[in-house]
Amino acid sequence: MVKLLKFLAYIIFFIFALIYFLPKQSLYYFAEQELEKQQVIFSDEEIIEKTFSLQLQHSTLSYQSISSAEVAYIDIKLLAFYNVITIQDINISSVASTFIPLNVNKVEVKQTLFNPLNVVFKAYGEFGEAEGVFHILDKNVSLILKPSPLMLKEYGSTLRELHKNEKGEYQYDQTF
Amino acid sequence: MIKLSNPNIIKKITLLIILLVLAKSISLAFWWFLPSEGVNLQEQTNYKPKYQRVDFKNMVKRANISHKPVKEEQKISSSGMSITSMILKGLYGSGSHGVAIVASKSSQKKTSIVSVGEEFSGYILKTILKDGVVFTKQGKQYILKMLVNKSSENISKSFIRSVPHAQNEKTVARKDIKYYSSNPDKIWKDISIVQLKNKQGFEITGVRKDSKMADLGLQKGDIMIRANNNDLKSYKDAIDLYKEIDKIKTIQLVVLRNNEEKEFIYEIN
Repeated sequence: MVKLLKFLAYIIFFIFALIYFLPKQSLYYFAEQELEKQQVIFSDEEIIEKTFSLQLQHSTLSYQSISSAEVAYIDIKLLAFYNVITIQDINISSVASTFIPLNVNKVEVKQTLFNPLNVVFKAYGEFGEAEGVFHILDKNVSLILKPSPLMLKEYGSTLRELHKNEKGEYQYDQTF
Repeated sequence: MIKLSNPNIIKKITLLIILLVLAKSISLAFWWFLPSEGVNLQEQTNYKPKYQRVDFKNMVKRANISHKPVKEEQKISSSGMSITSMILKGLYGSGSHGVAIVASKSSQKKTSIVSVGEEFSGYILKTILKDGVVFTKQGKQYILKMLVNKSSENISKSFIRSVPHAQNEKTVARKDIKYYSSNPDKIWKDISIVQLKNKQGFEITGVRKDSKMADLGLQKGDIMIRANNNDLKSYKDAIDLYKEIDKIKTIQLVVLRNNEEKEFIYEIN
């Protein structure tokens, strides 16, 4: 038992050492290149390497070369057994103003050792609150939206695209 | 004798140092292979000139004067290529007014614009037909047809451009534009549009009858390919136009209808 604990301690030490030494900025550039293939580009961001995380500030998110959102803060923490991406203060482009409210306060995407096959995400903002899960094996995303009064009043056409469940929540399911 | 170190501790420290060195080596390997520069959005500059309305008939007349059209009786050199070596790549106009874009089969990229009455390789352009042109040479008539792709889904590289008739020129009230720009959801109630899979334009899949969109003359099945000199090949192109809509005074929209280009002019008052 002691030997096993020692072994685990060495493993954890090695993982932390590896994360500490890894060129996080270069890894981010690699991720950017992969995202570019999906026509998703983060531009003009300020990259800050922290000991165990990477922070991006004031980035512009573009999809299909269309400036889609301004993101004030992104924190990427990938610790192998606990991976979390926190995104704060998203201002969506006015082009989308007819579909959704433009301000999203926080989005959190999390994957942990205890739930390795699911990526859980939560978001809240002017639209209300949303919680969802991406099932890695099934390649299925399931989202539940609790709309804000503003969303209910002004964005009925968007809500009609979602399925309303028995609890009165709006649900969205998509398999890729 | 005093024992300077505990071998157990030295063993552990050595192991930790080995792990550190291993982690550093792996990170260096990553650093070696990973990119050193990120990706930034490259804003494409629009090299195309702004759209300006030009009376094409006047252009043709001026071209006729400057080029001095060849008279039919004039002796034509016989050194020109054969009509079978020519291809017709485009048309603009009809009857005795308009131009044809022609090229030789051997160098199809090198095109020449020939007005009615002008000479091309010994042949005089006589008439513009709906899907071809009539050339004359030494009293004989030769019909050159357009190259049209059989598949209606594919946009043929060759095109037939009809003369913008008065019915294609419409006046749109600025308040209607503002109504749609401030209520974009209303747009999608009146018209439905999808991007073509080959990204060569946007197909209109439905227009609500008696709507303002129907008044614009657009029909289901039309493929919007160009607006104000800008190709509509992506949502970005469409959104760029949408962003400028409040400043625009004239919109020129080119659609493909039955594989023919059709131009709509909307004057915004």
